[in-house]
Amino acid sequence: MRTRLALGTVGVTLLLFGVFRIFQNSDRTNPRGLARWLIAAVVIHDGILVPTTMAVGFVLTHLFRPRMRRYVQGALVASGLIAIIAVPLIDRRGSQPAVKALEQQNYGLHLGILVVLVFGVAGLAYTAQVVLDRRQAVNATNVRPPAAHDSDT
Amino acid sequence: MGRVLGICFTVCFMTGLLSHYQYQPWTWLPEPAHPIWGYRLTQGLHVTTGIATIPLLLVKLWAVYPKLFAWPPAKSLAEGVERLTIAVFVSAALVELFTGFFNVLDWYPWPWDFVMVHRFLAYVVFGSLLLHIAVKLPIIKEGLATPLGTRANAQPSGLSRRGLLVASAAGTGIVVVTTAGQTFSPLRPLDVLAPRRADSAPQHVPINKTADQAGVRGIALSSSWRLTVVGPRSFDLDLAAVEALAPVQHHLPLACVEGWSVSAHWQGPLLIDLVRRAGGDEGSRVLVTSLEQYGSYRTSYLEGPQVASAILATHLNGVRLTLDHGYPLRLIAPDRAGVLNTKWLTEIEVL
Repeated sequence: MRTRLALGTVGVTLLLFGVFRIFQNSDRTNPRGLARWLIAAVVIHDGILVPTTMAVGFVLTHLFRPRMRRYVQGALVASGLIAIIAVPLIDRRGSQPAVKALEQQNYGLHLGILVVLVFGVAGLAYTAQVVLDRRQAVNATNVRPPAAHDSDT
Repeated sequence: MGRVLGICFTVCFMTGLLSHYQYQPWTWLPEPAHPIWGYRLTQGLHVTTGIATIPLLLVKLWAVYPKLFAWPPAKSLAEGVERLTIAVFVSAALVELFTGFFNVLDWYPWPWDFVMVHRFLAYVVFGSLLLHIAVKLPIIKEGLATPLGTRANAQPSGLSRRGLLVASAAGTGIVVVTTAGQTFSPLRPLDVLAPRRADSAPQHVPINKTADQAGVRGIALSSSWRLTVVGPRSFDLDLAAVEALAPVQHHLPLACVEGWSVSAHWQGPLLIDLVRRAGGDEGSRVLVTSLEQYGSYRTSYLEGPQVASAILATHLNGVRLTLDHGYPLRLIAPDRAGVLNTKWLTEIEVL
């Protein structure tokens, strides 16, 4: 309880300090503009981004059988996380003078290659799972019934 | 996931404070000059961890999304306050991380001073995170004590908890490996998503602000350029006189607040030689000024150990500085934020 109290006290202090300093420097921090962004961030995340991923997940349940779906979902999660970082880079590419060496790479192509790699690895993992499941199924059907001399009675 | 996020936010907050200290150090505790790679390490960690935190946070928020619709919204006043602080954390963290990333991309689509808001919002993010941890500590302890796979899986036929962690780790790991090369040179061959690439930059060192952006092209190339040294014994030098001074050569990293860094070979006279000639010494506070007319970083202060170790560079990686790198003369000091290594120098003042 003491740890929780200490953490909570420090947390509230830092939080209030940050808010106070933002309002104290309102000519440069523009609290109203900042508030709009803070609200927009939650609305875009909770109202668009997450429902979209859930809709994709819903479609996947109808397209793939459970065993394959896990690997497709996994590959999509990994690819989506990479894309979150890559998309702003793709958008900003070429916006700066070349001498700055900033945003000069072909990020679209690089994202494409990374997504292919992710799906390739997921495909290999799925194939390995299929082979493993098949072997286990074969082994299960080959189990001999217990013989009389197996018993210690 | 939560534990990793907690570590990432802590690293970002602490390294962010260290970076802020570079810009506004206390006079009685000046920035050290050693290790020379100090800022390279802390700011590289800050930006790399910050970028990695974006996918991690999104996965965490995705995992707890159903709790958003818990009914009733709060069973008590305390729970209501707690949920409110989570909303503060989520919105502040999303804005902090994404605006930080956009800053790395030199993209400022918001109506406020980035540096100031990034700094103060960091207190809000970290404070609300600590508060959240304080409230949830018993549940966090229980979660950490439960091995993966023993929990009831909400979607037995879909991606398991373990599967989600593996996929998130893979996605975040690829993001780190393909971006960290802009500061961690062993990963340079893999930095296909790095905003900056040193190998495509002039003299193999990226540039944050070009001479044209700074508006100094004409004046920096002018034959009338002079370096004025102000102090108890003021004097000034033309370019030939600066180049006639005994040069030193050092390998020093140039580490930018935006997370890229590169080690380079610098050559030029020592700042302290001119400071002494003007009547100062290692204990002096020194103000250097650029030819730039505007901008937050047209001047910078040196004090403490950095005064003795700073170079007034005329050459970079064996050749004359290009105009965009600060021709005719720029400052370079160890363990110093990149933008504080003032370019296109015109005046040195011993205070």
